[in-house]
Amino acid sequence: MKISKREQSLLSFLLFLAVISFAYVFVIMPLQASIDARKSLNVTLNDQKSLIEAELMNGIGLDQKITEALDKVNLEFSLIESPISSEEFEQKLLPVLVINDIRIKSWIVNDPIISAPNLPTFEKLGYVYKLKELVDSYHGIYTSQSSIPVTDAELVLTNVNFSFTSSYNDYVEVLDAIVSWNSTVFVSTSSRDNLTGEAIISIDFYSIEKP
Amino acid sequence: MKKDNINLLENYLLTEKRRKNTSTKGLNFIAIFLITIILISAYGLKLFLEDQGLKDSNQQLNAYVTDPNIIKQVSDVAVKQRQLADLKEILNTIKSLNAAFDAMPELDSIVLDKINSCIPADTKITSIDYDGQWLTLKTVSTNYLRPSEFARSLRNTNFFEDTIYYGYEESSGKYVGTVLVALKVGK
Repeated sequence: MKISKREQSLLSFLLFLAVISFAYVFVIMPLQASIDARKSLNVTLNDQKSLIEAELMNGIGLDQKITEALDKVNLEFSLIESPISSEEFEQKLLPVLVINDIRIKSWIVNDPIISAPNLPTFEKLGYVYKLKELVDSYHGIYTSQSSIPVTDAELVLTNVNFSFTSSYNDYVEVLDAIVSWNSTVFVSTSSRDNLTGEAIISIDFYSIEKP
Repeated sequence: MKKDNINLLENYLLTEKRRKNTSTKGLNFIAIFLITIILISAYGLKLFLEDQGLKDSNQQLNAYVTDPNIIKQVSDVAVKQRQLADLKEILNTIKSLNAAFDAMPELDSIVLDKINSCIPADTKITSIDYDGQWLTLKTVSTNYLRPSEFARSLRNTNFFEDTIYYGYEESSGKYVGTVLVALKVGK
């Protein structure tokens, strides 16, 4: 079959287009798609790497910070009593009572409960009424804020009540002994009849389980 | 028939020109074709190299982010950060507790001695009641002026947060007075 020059030119042009199309469809496009996918993955991986590096940067000096915080926590923990059994508590107080030959009449230990410290709340801030407020305001006097610390943190509270008969000096010695423990043991209520020498002391024993 | 003008050169030149034109067209086409192929190949090569570069980069990044050692380090840091946050919370809580305990009033000989130092003549404290902050003091005197003197002395010490005097009652010729004092919260 003989083809004319015009047909030759047309076929050549078609061949040319075919080659370009082939290259575009089977080489350029797949490569471009692959590059797009890899770029997207690259961005994701770079983000992950940045996050990891930031995390690792945050980790620098963390051990030191933990050690310091742990020391502070342990120091604060040491100021609070560890839980002890009721008999241990009795044994703790007993030497004071025995030395002074105090006659214990009753010793009642209540079940431990979870409670925030029973901190008294009374502060003399004066009476507050409108006219006083106006006068104070005129003089530039403003009601002072309470300085009593507030906490809603809870711990284990064991209440112990005991009654006894003793001299006034022995009663004071028992109170001093409890205060001298310099601990989280407080006399919550107490009463003494000076005529009969009968006294009741109620003790709040705050404790916390330590790691 | 005899030809008068036999000019072979003219014909030759004409033929040559046609041949040259045809030959140049073909060459032009081949040149354009080759240049296009070269350009496409160059572009393809550039894309291929870029693709390979990204592939290598991704492999390195992937190796980094999936490295068990790195993952362990990150995990360790996360654990330590949580521990530090927990410790800070524990510290804040326990500090608030200790601040509360520091502020707790305590009944001891210092308080009782201060009260005793205020007792006027001919007066005795018959009972002491303590509720954690308030002390209720019952006194008995032979003189009706003594209960108020006692209360005034207590107030003048400025040792107590507040002093409340509830007066007295006469009983069998003795005057039974009641005074309340509040211990200060905090040290």
